[in-house]
Order: sequence, then structure tokens, then C-alpha cells
Amino acid sequence: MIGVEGVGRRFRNVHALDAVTLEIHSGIFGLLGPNGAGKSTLIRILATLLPPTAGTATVYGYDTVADRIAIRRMLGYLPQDYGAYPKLTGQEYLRYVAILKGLPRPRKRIAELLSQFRLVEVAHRRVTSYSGGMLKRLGIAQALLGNPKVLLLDEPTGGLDPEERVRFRELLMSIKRDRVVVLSTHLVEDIAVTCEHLAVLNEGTLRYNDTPEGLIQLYEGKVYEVWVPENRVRETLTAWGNRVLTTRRHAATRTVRILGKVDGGRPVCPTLEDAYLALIRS
Amino acid sequence: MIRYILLETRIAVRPGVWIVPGLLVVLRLSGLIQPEGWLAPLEIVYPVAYPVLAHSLLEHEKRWRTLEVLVTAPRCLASVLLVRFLVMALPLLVAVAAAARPEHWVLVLAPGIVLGAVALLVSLLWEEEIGLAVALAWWSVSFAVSMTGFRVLDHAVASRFLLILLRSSLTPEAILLRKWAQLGVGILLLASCVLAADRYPCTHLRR
Repeated sequence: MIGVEGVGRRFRNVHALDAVTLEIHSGIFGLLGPNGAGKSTLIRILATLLPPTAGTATVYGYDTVADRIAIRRMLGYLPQDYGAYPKLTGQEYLRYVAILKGLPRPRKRIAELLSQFRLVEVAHRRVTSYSGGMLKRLGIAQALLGNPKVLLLDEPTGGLDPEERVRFRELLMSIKRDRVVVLSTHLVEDIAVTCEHLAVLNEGTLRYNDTPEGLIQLYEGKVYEVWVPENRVRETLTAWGNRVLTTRRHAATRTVRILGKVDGGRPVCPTLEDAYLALIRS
Repeated sequence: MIRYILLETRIAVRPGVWIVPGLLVVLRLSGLIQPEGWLAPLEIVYPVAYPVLAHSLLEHEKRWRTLEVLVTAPRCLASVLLVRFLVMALPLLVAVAAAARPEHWVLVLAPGIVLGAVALLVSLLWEEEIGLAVALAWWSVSFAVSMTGFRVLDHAVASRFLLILLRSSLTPEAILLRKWAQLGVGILLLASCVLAADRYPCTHLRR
């Protein structure tokens, strides 16, 4: 469905993306990585916004450079830095995007999306009065106009409160059928709940490309947990440095998860977050 | 199409900008004002509005963070930008229609269109500030030459590159010819924006 073959992108002397090769099939595909890993650059290349400086990317067989219009016809896109026209109401904005997408008689679909994203009550208010969460929901709604075959979502849960985030994930699960959804995020939880496949990017290079379970398996038997008294946390974390994956606070102690064996540590089953952090730090 | 134009108007035009053109139209139609002696100052001041318009068109897209969604829609970005530019220019067109006689419209309009087109094209290819600067520099040179009475203004070839010509000793026919040429170049440059708009997201996102 989506093929990425040796794709690279340079901005002057900076390699934002370096020889990335991926195949993405229908369902939800997660792009995970820290800030600056190249996720947004890859999403923008797939969205036909940026041409790659090396390699080729195709969407349903169409080249992202040569066949941009064909790709745009089947695309729903939510950029990371999303904004809407401040003078329009939510409903007007969706109507405007529907016109740009060339959708005939979009009224019913707009009503459905407004209801699905709990925007009915604010549909006639200008988008300047929307909260960050409302604006994000409007952004996802515009991406879904026209039932796109390919949905590219760049950090869609940023700015959503926990309840909205859960609802968004449920929504994502309900729309994944018969379409490709690429979800770019730095939140492991989003990926763990929704994605069948994921790719991990770091500093522009592909570090992993398979299932979340596969990533966890890579670090089985390599993650240890240690209980550390609160008054010794600082020196302990400094001593272990980069091997520290996560810490969790309790009453007077903290549990610290470490990559590799340590004195007094007990092996634990790694979570996806442990495995991701271990991969990034290795 | 009508709904689309109306939405573009809602996006890009503040209702307040209609006050001056509307007032001019009312006063002109009621016969309270006559545009006598307005042509020379209009030729100087009016064209400046167009590059400012072109600049604000792209600046708004950046400020509102709406460009990426706009580009990924199948409708050509260039057509959206050109329609919006014309929608934004509508109050200016109405103003000139009320403030100048029909036979003088091209004298006032042509430098505005060519300056706006230069600003838009350069902005799309490089940066919005460079586009505005190039257009305003051209206007400034023309203004300075027209004010100082520098001989260039009367030179048949050199005067083709100047925008403010009414103070020159060129014949009315020669002035009109140059203004039509400016209008033609302006329209050509606006058409070139269709190609340049394709590059714009790439340039914009690189920054």
C-alpha cells in the first residue's frame, strides 16, 4: 500500500531522514521516535508536501513526487502544527475543506463527523474560541472527510486530555478497516494500544520495523527492576546513567527499570516503553 | 463555486475594509464628489496596496498554520491563492472604479497589478519578505524618479521600467501603451505563480 525505498531528506547539511526503507499495509502503523527523529519529515514526504532528496516513496503505487494529485485524492492528513482559519466556524471550515477536496454534497458527512467528534454544540462557533483539544478534534475530522484510503496523522493526541486520548484511540480502531493509517507519535502508549506494526526512527535512521511484540521480545531477559530508597535516587540514577529506562515513585522508594543486569535487581518482563527506550539508548 | 468564493471572502477579507470603497461609491454615485485631480496622487499611492496584499496573503497562511492542509487537498494551491488574491483585491478594485474615470482605470490599476504579481511570485519562489521588498523597491525607485524629475522619466526605453509616469513628458498615448504593457506583464506574472506555487510548500517547510 505504502512503499518507502531508501528515502532520504536533507535540509542543507542536516540529514533529517537517511535511507529509510519500509512497507506499510492496511491497518494502523505506528511511527515512533523522539522529537527530531524524522517522523514528521517522513509523514510530509508521504503527504506529498516534501520531495525526498534520495530514494522513492509510493502510495498505492503512485509516486509521491510524480503523482501528487492522485495521492492527494485518497489522502487525509493531520499535520503536527495544525491550525484552522480563525474567521470560520467549525462547520464552515469542514465545508471549506470538503470543497477543496472536491467532495460532492458533503453536508451529511460533515454532520456525522461533527457528531462523532463531539463538536456539534460548537459547530457554529468560530474556531478561535476552540480549546486545543477541540481544534485537534476538528483537525482529525477534516482529515477524515471523504473517507480517505490513507490517513496520515502527525502527533494527533498532543493537546488532548486523557479522556479524549482514550476516545481517539477507540475511534482510530473503528476506522482502520480497509485503509492505511500512519500514526506518528512520541507517546508509546498510543502505539501500544492501537498499532499492529511500528517503526522506530531515531536521528533520521530506521532503528526497528516490525510488531510491538517483536520489539518487546528483543529485550526479554535484559530489563531489571530495582527498588531504591528515595534519599539515594539521585546518586543511583547518576551511577547507572543511560541504562535507566523508567522510574516510578512510591511512598518512600522508587522502582527503577534498568537495561542490563545490576546487583540487587530482578529481571522483569519489559513493557513496550522499556523496549523502545532501550532501543533508542542502545 | 459561489459558496467557495463566499468562504474565501470570509477567510481573507475583513468587513471593515469595505468602508472606504463603499463610501467612495456612495459619494460618487450621489454626485457629492467628482474625481478631478485625483489621478496623479492615485497613480502614486494606489499600487502600493497590491504587494502588501500579496504579502499578507501568504503571511496569514503561515500565521494560521493552514498551509499544509491546503496543499494536501487535490485542488491546486495556486488556484486557491489566486482566487484569494482576487477576493482580497476586490475592495481595491471597487475603490479605483469609484475614484477614477473608466478611461483612467488602467493608468492606476496596471502598476498595482504588476507590483502585486512581482511580490507574489518572488514570495512563492523565495521568501515573503523578499517579495515585498522587491516590489516596494521598484515602486520607490519609480516614485523617487517621478518626484525628482530625473531625465530617465522622459527616456523612451528607461521609462518602460518605471511605474509612475503621469509626471513625465511622454505623450498620453505612450503612457497608456506602457501601462497596458505593465498590465500584461502583471497578468503573465500572476499566471507564472501557478508554477511557483508548486514549489512554495517545499520552500516554506524547509525554513
